[in-house]
Amino acid sequence: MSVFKFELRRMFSGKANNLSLLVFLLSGLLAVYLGAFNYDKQMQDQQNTALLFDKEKEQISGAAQIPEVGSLAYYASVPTQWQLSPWAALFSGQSQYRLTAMRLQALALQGQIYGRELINPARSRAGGFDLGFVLAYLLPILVGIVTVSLLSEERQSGRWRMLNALSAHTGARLIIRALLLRFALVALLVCLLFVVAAVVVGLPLDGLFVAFIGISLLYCLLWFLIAGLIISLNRDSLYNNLAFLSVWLLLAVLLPGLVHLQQGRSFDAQLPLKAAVEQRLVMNNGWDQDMHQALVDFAEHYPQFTEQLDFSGRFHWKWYFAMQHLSDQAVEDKWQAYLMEHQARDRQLDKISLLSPSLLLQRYLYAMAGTDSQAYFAYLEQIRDFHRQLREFVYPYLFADRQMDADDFNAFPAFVAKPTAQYPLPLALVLLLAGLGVLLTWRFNRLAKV
Amino acid sequence: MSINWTVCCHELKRKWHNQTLKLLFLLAQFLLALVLWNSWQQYQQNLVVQQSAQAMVEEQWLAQPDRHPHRVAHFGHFAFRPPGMLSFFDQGVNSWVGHSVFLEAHKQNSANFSKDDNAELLLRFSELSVANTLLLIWPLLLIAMGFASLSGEKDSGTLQQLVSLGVSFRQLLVGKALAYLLLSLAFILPVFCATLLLAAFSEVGTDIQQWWRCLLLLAVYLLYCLIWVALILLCSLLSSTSRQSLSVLVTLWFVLTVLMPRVLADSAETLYPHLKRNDFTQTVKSEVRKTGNSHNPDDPHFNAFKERILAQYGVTRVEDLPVNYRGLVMQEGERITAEIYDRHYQAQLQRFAQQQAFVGHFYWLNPYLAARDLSMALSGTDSRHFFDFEQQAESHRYARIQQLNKLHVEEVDYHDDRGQRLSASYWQTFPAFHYAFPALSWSLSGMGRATLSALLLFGMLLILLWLPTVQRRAYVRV
Repeated sequence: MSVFKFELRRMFSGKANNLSLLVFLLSGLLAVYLGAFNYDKQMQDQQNTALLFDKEKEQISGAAQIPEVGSLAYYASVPTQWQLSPWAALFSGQSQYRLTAMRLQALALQGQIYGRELINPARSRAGGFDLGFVLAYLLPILVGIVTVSLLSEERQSGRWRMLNALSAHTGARLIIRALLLRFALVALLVCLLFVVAAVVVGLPLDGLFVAFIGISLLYCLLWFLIAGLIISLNRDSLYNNLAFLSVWLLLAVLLPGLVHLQQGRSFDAQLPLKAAVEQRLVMNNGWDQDMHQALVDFAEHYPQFTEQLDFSGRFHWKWYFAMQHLSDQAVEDKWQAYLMEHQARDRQLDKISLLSPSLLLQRYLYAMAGTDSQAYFAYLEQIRDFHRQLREFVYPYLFADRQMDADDFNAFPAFVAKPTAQYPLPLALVLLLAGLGVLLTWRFNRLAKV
Repeated sequence: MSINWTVCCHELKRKWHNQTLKLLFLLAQFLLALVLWNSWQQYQQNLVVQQSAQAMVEEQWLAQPDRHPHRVAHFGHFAFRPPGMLSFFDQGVNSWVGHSVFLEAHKQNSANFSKDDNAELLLRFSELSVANTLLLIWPLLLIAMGFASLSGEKDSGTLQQLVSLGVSFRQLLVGKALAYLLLSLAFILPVFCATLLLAAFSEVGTDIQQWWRCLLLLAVYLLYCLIWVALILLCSLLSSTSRQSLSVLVTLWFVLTVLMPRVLADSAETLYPHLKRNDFTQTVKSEVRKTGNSHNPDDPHFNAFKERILAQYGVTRVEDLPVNYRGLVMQEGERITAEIYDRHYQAQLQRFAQQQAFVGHFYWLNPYLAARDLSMALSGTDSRHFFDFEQQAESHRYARIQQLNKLHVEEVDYHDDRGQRLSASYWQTFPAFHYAFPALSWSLSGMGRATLSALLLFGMLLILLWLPTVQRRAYVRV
């Protein structure tokens, strides 16, 4: 027990240690607070769009006559929601710059699906600040500060030689004990942040909560192993500090930057733009082409309306909505190419992120919080499904020239949000840990013999 | 002077003999070269994409058959943002903003289609650009080289020896500062020369303002290096050991370049929140509806409008007007939406400006923030330049649509309005969209605070270094 007390006292004696612990804790708390604020705004946004639509619906069903189906479908912006769990407050991922409450019309999907949140680009340029950032980037620095000078301090003070003179393993054992204690302390701090976050954001204390903490601690352990390796090089503390910082810079800053360069070169970012431009062209040219032919083309996708294609006059909503759908269909291959591109990009990222633990951690965190690009694309898929539902709800009225009555109108489809989070097993992280662990054991065994 | 020079040479020689530092220096140079080469290629590619896309939509516009002018207005047009000529040096906010705006009747669209896939993972430190390497990585290297410049002399006891030999402390200081300044020059000059060379090969070569921008960028980065050199010397002087000096400097680097920019930017958004997309769209929409709804037959605004027009032409029925009343309604409706949109858009920009001003309060404390924003402004890649593009696109949209509405008023008869078509030659003479890149003076307006703050910070550091009381600290072993 007294050894433990001694170690604790030693740890809290350094000004740098205490300061960095404090900075880490404060940053974490601020990140939780800011995250909760932004998450509340997102939830507010989702509620507001839903309320607005309810009000519009009420107005319409309360009116003496329900408007013509075509114009009704034209003006109805139905709210959708990207289902974000409270974890999105802590690990905001893409939810900060994507639309989380996209409003949808029965018009061409390609004209709507690329909608984006209004952001201040200067803030994105600064890098964004959430608990994910604190854990992925700040935590390693904290680990470095409290560890890398351990052995060199012992050596500088002359204790190391004395200890090793006692028995072959005493010194190494002491270092390991000090490392373990520091790990316990940092782990405690991380847990504390999660508990505070749970209270502030209202997270359920369930298996997922444990999983989030578990992955964060694995990541923390990984940086302790890296620090241990640097310590085992048995150089002076200046060298250790610089080496640790260089490793951090390489793994956390340079590698992701290089991956971004590489991905920018190997993937075509213009696909959505090409799809949207072409869809507009097809749709607008439709006005100058044979309208009946367009309806016949449409009936190939929806044969049930083959008998109801005729209309008189210069314009009919059924043509209008058919044309919207045809323009979507015209760029379907481009949309599919975009989805494939996204998958390919993600697969590549999956492999490359093995090189950088901070990338790896963030991928897990954002996947589990349901805010990574996979989750966003899952939301887009939900939107596509709902868009079909919306169109197909309107078509029968349009093609049969049938008015909606109040009951029909009340059956207007509503979006049902489904969860988008995924729970990958952190195998890669465990593998990296095991590899580093073996390396470290070997190094410490050698160290004991020096 | 000669003693200063001797000190400087000695310091440089010591760095030269340190293999690790030499290797790091060369690696960083290699990284700079790689990054410059890559962003130059990206820039060229972006330029080709933008130009060909703009040419394509121009062609599509011209290829339209005879149409009703309002159909043409709905056909719309695209405005593509050309990459700023110096965006290969500093990409600024370009990764997060869209580079194309769809221009159509009745509706103002935001710029869309940005390249930020996986930005939440890969762009946490922004993309690797020359600017980012100079802003983030070079100071760290300077720290690695210089943290022990004075504290090391103290540790080894050579400081006292030097002083006893008659070297004044100020000479020592100037000599060392000179050494790190020369090192900084050696670090940034190659990349600047390469930048100038690349610029000379692009269309930048013909524009004198671009050369000024390059020169000012060099000045900004030199000042940035100078501030770091002064900071490093000051910390090294005040620290009792080299180890302390290193940990203080690294902590400073971390707080100034990593922590503070993020915390400030995020807090600014909490303090001066802007509207989210849905709220913004809805606010504009409901205000337009309140002001005047051209589709509503009982709308008071448009009824008054009708009375005014009828009185103006001295007729009692719209059918008797010499012009097409529907076209006039289109014009009026477009004017109303554009005005309301612009008002809310400006309010939104105002909120962004407030957020920026909040961050700007800390320029004098943080050289990174000042240098970053100056660099983006000079490269024409900050958010202000992006919003300038959006506004130019919007005024182009407005002019284009109103021109079409004018055709609707003057060339289309009120009777059987929708059934008529106008010859395509009417709109084939419309001017193409051309983004006018802002002048240097515009780019720099509003950057006075950043410039002054950086200079002030540098001045304060110099004064601190020059104070005898501070210099005396160097001899004291705490």
